[in-house]
Amino acid sequence: MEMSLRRKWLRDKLVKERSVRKFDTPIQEVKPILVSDYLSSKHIHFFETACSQGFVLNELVGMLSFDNPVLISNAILEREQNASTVVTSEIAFPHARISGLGEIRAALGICPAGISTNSGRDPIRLFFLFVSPVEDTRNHLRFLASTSSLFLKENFIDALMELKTREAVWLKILESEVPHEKENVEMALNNA
Amino acid sequence: MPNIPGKKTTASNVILVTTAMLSFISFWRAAAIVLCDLASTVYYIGGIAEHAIGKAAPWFVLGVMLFSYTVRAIYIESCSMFVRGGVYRVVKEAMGGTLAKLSVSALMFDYVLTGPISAVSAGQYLVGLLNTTLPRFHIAWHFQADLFSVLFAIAVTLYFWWQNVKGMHESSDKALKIMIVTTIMAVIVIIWSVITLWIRGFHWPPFAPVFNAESLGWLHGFKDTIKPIGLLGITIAFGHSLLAMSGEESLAQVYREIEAPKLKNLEKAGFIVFLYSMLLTSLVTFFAVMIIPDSVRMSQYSDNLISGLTMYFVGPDTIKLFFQAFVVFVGFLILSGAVNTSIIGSNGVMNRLGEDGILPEFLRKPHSKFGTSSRLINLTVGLQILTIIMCRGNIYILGEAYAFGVIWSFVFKSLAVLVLRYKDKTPREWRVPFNIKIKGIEFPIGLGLIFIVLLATALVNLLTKQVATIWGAVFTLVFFIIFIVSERVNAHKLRKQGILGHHGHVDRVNLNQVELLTPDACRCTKAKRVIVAVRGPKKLVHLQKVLEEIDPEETDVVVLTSKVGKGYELEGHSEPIPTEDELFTRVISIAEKVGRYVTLLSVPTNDPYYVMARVAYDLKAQELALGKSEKFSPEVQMEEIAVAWGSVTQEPRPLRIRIIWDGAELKEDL
Repeated sequence: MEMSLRRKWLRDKLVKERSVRKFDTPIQEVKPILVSDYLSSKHIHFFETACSQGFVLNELVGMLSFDNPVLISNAILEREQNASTVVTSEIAFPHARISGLGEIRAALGICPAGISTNSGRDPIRLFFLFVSPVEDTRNHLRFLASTSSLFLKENFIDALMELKTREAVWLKILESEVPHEKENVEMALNNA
Repeated sequence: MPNIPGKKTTASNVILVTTAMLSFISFWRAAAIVLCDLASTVYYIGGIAEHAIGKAAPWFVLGVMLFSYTVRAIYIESCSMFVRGGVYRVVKEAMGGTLAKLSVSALMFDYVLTGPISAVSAGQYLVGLLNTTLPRFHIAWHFQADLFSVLFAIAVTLYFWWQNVKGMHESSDKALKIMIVTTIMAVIVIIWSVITLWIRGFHWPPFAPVFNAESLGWLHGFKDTIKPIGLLGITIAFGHSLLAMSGEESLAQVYREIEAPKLKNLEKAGFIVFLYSMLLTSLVTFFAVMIIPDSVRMSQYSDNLISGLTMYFVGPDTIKLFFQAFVVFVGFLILSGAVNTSIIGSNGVMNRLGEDGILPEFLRKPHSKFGTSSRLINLTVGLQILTIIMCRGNIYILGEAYAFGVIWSFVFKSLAVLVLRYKDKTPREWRVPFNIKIKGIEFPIGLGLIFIVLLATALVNLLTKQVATIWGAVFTLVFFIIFIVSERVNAHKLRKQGILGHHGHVDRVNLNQVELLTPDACRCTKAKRVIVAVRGPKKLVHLQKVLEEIDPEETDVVVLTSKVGKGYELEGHSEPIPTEDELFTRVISIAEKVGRYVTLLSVPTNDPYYVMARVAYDLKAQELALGKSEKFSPEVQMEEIAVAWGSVTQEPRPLRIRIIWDGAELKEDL
């Protein structure tokens, strides 16, 4: 009995030592994910009148040209039921993770008149929808963090609301994400 | 998704939760603290034991010191079950509240007498030095030894009373320095004694004890039938020398503060304590009998035996006198340390009793200026000064009485650990050896034998040590009645207030507002930082896992609790946070169990995920660990944190997120 207790204690100690080494693996620093890399101006849509969450969702999913848009909509709604994706009084980040998807696909809906949601809050003005591959959790989370970092910048949503075209919105996003790379922005402007 | 506030600035109304006990010490320092109590007995045990059993005293002191190794084993086993494995806790778990109160009453007697015996002994050494030295300088002063030592002891006790009322913390650093100086003294004493014996020759002390009317007590009528080398004779002599291992209880008191791996370090500390005290106490007692002439040893040096030893070394008188002054100086340090330890120890035990509702509430009221439990300190010191006055400087009487508290707290402790072997079958990390299993029933032979030896010694002491039995029994009974009555009064009050049950031990913490949340403000000094978010006191698996895994040399752990309430915001002013006593107590308890330092933060908020991210960002943390939510799946929790992290980071910064629950973990790097 004494020996087996001693052995158990030694085994636990070894396991602890191994886990210390495991913990010590450094966090890999990678290049930041940019929203503008996954959102094109084609996938930005203005809604002129007040509308519902469901309507906006279907419109934006439709823009992303999925083979099975119903599956995508259902996945997003299912995620929404787990926890609301409304972040502030102005914006929501509805999303879902889909198996077999090549890369992240995103669309932005802008509705100055307000989109009513099921969160119990006041209507929001921005609906940033995206779908990411279920196989890549890390990029999914990093994209969420980048999205939050971008849209929750002070006065950024107010600035977007003043813009009238999808191209201007996209450029504003690009400018916000890479403010020091003027050349890139200008090149992008010309290309646009 | 997180409820991100519109305006995002550095957290500004964070509460830093502090407690005096959340730092951890090495096994060397732990051993030093215990030795300040245990090794100080070397200054008086020789005189007390020889007074009772004659020149055989060194053999029995050696026997007691060897036996202390087994008592150490009992404390290690109890500490492997309870981080705060003192007598009260262990006896309560094993045999219920009534016996726990009885055992702690005996322990209080031990603590109340530790102070006076150490202080009076220090006084005796000092007056011995003065009376030897002053005539050499043609100063015709001669101090009355007992009166001087009583006045000196009162002065020392009052000094430490005031320090404790002000809130002085027991410093392991000071204890270590005292033990270094003591070691220097011990090495010189041992080497000089060996040289003296080498030059002058020596005779071993006789093994047979010689009893007198005082040392046989109520057994004096049977003096002709008691064989000195028989079972009873040896037990009587053993009982008169038992004082040599007083202070073992400090092992349990210090365990809370030992750094990880706790039990391994406790074993090391215990072994150092054993080896050191065994060598120092028994060797010095042997040398005293072998070097100081019989004609003067007990008549002149019974109360300051080491001083006497120094004066009979070979060598010039002037050097011997200087060395005697050094011995007195070291004695003053170590014995004063023991006075302080006794006040702190009894205060700690009584605070624990107060939390359990078995002390009158008015005694627990903190000092209006210093916030310390001054009334409990006053009570202990009052009893200690009364003891000093009543003993009139007589170390022998003090020693005899002191042994009562020591032996009975050991008896209760060993019985409790024995009972727990059958009552609590959960595997222990460490057990007293010699256990055999017959037909599925375990017989703890080692533990049983230790208990029998302790019980037999305690019972024999009851008959031989009249002063100890009368005063010890009266004191224990008075304290026991106070505890019983107070518990009933407090329970009655609680019932009247509609509070049904007591919720167990609660740590008292200090809440300090941090103006700006920075690594410096949170005392984070290491290269790495981990934030551990906690919510419920029963869901702290993740905290334990993180604490077990980190390298404390390079990682600070900040435990974050966010008080979620309507209308709270991280920024701006908020209502004061109600103390989350139970949660803090559990966090402190886990940190103590693992032996790692943590910084506790409490932040008011309306969104815990935002607070986690904000605090991780402000403190430049590399990792955030949290438990599994009851409301959301771990995947959703990860997303909540990712959004919150994005909202606080101006520039991308890597952060490892870990969601840990029973046997599982989800980990991702942002």
